[in-house]
Amino acid sequence: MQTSKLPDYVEEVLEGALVAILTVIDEKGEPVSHPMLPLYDRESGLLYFTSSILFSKKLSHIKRNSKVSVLVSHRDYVKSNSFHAVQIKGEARVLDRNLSDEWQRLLPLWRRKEPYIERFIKQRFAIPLFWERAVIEVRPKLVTVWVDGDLEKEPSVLKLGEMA
Amino acid sequence: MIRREDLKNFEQAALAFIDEDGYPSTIPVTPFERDGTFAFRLPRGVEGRKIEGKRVNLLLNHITPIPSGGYTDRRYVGFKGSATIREELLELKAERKYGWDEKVTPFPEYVEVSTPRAKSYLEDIGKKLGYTFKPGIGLFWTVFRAVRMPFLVATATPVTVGAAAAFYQGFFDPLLFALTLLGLSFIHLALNVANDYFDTLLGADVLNKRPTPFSGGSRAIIYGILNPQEARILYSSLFAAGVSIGAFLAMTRGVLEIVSLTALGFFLSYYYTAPPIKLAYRGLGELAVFLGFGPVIVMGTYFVQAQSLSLSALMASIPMGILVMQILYVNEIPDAPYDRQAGKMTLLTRLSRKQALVFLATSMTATYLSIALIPLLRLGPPTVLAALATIPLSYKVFRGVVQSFGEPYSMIGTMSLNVKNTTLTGLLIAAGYVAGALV
Repeated sequence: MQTSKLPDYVEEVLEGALVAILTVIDEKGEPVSHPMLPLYDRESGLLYFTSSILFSKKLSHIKRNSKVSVLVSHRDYVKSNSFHAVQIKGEARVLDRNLSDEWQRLLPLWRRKEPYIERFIKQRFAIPLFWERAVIEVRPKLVTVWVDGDLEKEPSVLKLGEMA
Repeated sequence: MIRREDLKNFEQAALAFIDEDGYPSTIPVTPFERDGTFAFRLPRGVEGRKIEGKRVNLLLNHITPIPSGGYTDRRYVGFKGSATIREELLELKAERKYGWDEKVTPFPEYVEVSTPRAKSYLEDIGKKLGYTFKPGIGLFWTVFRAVRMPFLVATATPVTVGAAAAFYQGFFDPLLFALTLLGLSFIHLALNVANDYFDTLLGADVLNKRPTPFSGGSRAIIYGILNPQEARILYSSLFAAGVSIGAFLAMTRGVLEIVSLTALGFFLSYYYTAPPIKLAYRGLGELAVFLGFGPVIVMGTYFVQAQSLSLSALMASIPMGILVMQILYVNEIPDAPYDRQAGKMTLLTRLSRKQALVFLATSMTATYLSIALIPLLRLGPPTVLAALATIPLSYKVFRGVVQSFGEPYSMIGTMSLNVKNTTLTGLLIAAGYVAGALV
């Protein structure tokens, strides 16, 4: 099935997810996964992550190969009324020209998931390199949904927009 | 093969492989125990043949969501290896493992271990974009952090004691007090930056992967907030400012005494870590701090006010010197293993745990004995005995050190209490002199 944007029920899962597994392709062409906080922007339909330069290997991998996938699969880690296990394949890009500030435009989304984050940002001088952060922007291309998180049922697969 | 203990404490399992479309695919998998090891059931819609023989990445993950929002208790482990499918279950031959558990490696330590990678990333994009990236914390916080501003209480307190001892003798000029405080503060801040510069250069701070707000240096150079040249400029300027104020006071209040005390103060501050003398590296740092923050500051301040030196001022300086030395001494405990590696043989690195505690107890006892001697030797008013009120606080510091000895993050509360105790005891001594003069 082809669609222009993510369906509401997938958006709800992404908005409620406290953790998503981001998989990138390393220099040997192998997959490497990292748990990360997903920040979904409903308006643009783009999925974001912020990554401190302290943990920058994944950034280099994405710069080399932009193909990524993201998985949200554990009910307890998603704060939403309904739950589905969701895998998104997409194209990622790293925004790192302004490491000190660019990620801050995502703060409203971040704050909703981690309300205490403001307190840590005020103490930014304490761990300055942690707050030098690149933004990873993921444009979803293919979405696989195991409805209700039931892995025994056939998933639905949605192609997005320009893909095909 | 994945074993039971590998899966323990993880709720989420995700398997990644490179799919036929060239994208990585990340799928939820369910562990299934078979023949004493674990295999994984694939979800519907994923054919085993697409994964068979491929390089895969298994990620096991855990967080504990917090009801009010967010999460804590983070840990994950990833296994890289190859996959085989047997009886519809995936078996992983793991070859490499990576991950993080914040209970094993606390977040601050994880940050320290990862710092070289961050700096190399900054250098790389700096080269590409043609300018030098620095952590964006602003000038105020850069200076605040680099000079370790909060430690100024270790100067302000003995200056106050010296001025109070002079006030007790009938001398006090607020402008001179302010100038003395300013000049000595510059010297102290210069000492802090020079200390960081040389400890970074000589490796003691670089080796330290478990710094705290009280130990392990400011990290300003290590984090790239300042480059070494900027640090040199900063400490030279601060020394110059402090020495200039000292020169002005020498001209107006007494050349010989103030020049001598300023020169001694500069020597102790700069050569605390600077080669070739490196007092702290030779086990003389504690003595240097005792002399610098005790007799030099207290008697210097007293002299600026009274234009004379006295036994009474010397007596007031003893507890103050011991107290500030104790700040250094307790803060050196978590640094000791790294200092030893770097050849910075502080007093702590030369003592066993038991000897270190005996020394601390002795110096705490000496602090209060020297306070008690002030009125007993008729070198100050009995009101200074008010400072004995902090004995329970000192005992609490001692107990805290015993309980958390060598555990940097557990020691933070005790190190903070120790600074507060020094400040409070010093201020009570000062208040005792002022009250003695007024009564």
